[in-house]
Amino acid sequence: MKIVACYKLVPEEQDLTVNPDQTLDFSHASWKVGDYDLTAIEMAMRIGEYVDGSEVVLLTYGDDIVCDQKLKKGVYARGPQMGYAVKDDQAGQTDPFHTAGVLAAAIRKIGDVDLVVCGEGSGDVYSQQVGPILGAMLSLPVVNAVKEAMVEVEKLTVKRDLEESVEVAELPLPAVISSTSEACKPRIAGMKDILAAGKKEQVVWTMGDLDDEPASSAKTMISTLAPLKKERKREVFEGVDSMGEFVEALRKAM
Amino acid sequence: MDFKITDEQELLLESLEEWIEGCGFDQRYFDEHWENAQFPAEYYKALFESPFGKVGLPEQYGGTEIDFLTMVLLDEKFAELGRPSLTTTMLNIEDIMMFGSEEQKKAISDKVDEGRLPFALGFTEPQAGSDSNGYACTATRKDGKVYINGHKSFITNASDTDLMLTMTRDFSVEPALNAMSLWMVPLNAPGVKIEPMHKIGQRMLSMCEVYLDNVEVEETDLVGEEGKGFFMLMKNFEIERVLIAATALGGAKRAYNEAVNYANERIQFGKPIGQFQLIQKMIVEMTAKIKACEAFLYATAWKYDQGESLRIDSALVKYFVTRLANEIADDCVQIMGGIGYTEDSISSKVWRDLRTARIGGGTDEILIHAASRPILKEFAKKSR
Repeated sequence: MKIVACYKLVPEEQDLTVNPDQTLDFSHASWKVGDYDLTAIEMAMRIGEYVDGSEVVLLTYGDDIVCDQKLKKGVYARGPQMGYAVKDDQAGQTDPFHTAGVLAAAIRKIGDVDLVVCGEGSGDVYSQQVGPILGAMLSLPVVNAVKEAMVEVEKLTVKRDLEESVEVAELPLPAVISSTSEACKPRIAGMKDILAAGKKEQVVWTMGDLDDEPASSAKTMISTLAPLKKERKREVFEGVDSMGEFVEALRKAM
Repeated sequence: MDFKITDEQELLLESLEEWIEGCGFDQRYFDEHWENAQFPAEYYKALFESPFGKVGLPEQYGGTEIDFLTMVLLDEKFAELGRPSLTTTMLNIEDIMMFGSEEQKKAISDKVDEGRLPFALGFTEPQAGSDSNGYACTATRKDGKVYINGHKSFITNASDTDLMLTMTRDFSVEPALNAMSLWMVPLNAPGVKIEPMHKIGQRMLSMCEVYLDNVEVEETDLVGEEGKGFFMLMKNFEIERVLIAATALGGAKRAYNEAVNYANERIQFGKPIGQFQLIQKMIVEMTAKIKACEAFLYATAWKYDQGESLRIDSALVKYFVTRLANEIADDCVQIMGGIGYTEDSISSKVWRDLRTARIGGGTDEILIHAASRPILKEFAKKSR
């Protein structure tokens, strides 16, 4: 079976700085594969290793960063045999609806895909929407928050943790799933995996290479600002007798 | 000159960080084992099974072959993260794989598969440390068996493993160079007595007196050719020096990271101590020393990978880097102040751990002796 694992390259959040006008500065940030996407890739690899004759391929959508060789080697070292990237300068300004559209068009172009695995959410925006929207766009059965997934005789069985129970569902293939963050621990890449990663093929497409034109973003980002820094008020209420004042102060603050 | 490490090397180091973070052994585990002088056997087992355990062992024995610079970078990173590595063990195993019999190779392989340290190196004796001509441990043949007699000292890991690769000397052969042989001695055999010594640092690895009183071994426990023990020992000693330097530099960086952070946080006289010039002087000097050590260490490893001789450079780099690493650790303790004098700080442990780096694997004094003669000889040749 052919399994597509989707990933997004995101800036390292600890490297973000805030400009005086509260805008975010990504220019000094190093980039990485989103942590939740590494889990999705591992889930895809485990299913692929279990089902004979399977192939796990990667798919990403982003700007020039998708061609960064070190990042490419880092993600391909996790096991998939080859992958695809849709490169577009506008990728950083889109919303989940457009992203899902691009991925859907790419998956149709890849063809014969039996299973798509997405992460719980991206490492930066974390809308948790791309997986479900993708499934709907491909008109495929889609399940999110998958803790465990296994394929047996053309059928996908998934487990999800609900509040008080574990749900077990069966889906026919092809299907789309998104994993939970704790589904499985990504495998550690060793030297052999890292050396092999550089030689693996990554097919790069532009938006023009896709046969369908994905819908544009449903949302337009107006601004993203860091919250204003506030000084702590340091109001101290002492003694049980001041409990009334304390509760009143809390009410006012809320 | 390209001073950049490759993408692959960077990724391997990131992968190592990821493994260490997720391997299930936290800092408390190592602190406890260090304090109690306990061997972290569970960690070593996990390390053997990880992609980083058998690095440096030839592929035919289940290892991953890598170039020496990458091995140096890995060992340095292990130390910077405060975790033991297995690279030197792999070098020792490689020796057995090269010189040992099929039976010996299998015995060692089996131990590695079980995730256990295969053997300790039994060379040093109370009267023979730097002076390897002074080995007095003997192997005497009688009634088809071989009896080992002697006293080995400062033997690392003797109480953490089952076997000791023991150097013996045949006093009927001259010169001493051709009189040495190596035997794989089981440490649970009758006549073996192991007494751990109390080290001030590197406390997770035991260091022991090993008394061998008529310990019976078989002819088949001879490793390699009789009389060639010294030459087998010499095979790896140059790269071991470089790896000791790598580990020392990594340890120094570990202390440095703690101390420089502390300089930004510790407030005295109304400001972080990092604002005071005398602290700044230490920080600047430590930073420059680290960069100098990196440059020399990596260049030396690179030379080895180009097939060049490390005869002089291995001695120079160990001498240089271990001394500077100790100086760095000392400054770190100073910056940490009172906390630096407690076992709660990383710097104090590094300070204690690093002191051995100037002694083991070739003392500073032996390295000066080893490097000075070839240097002078080179100059004498040129001036003729």
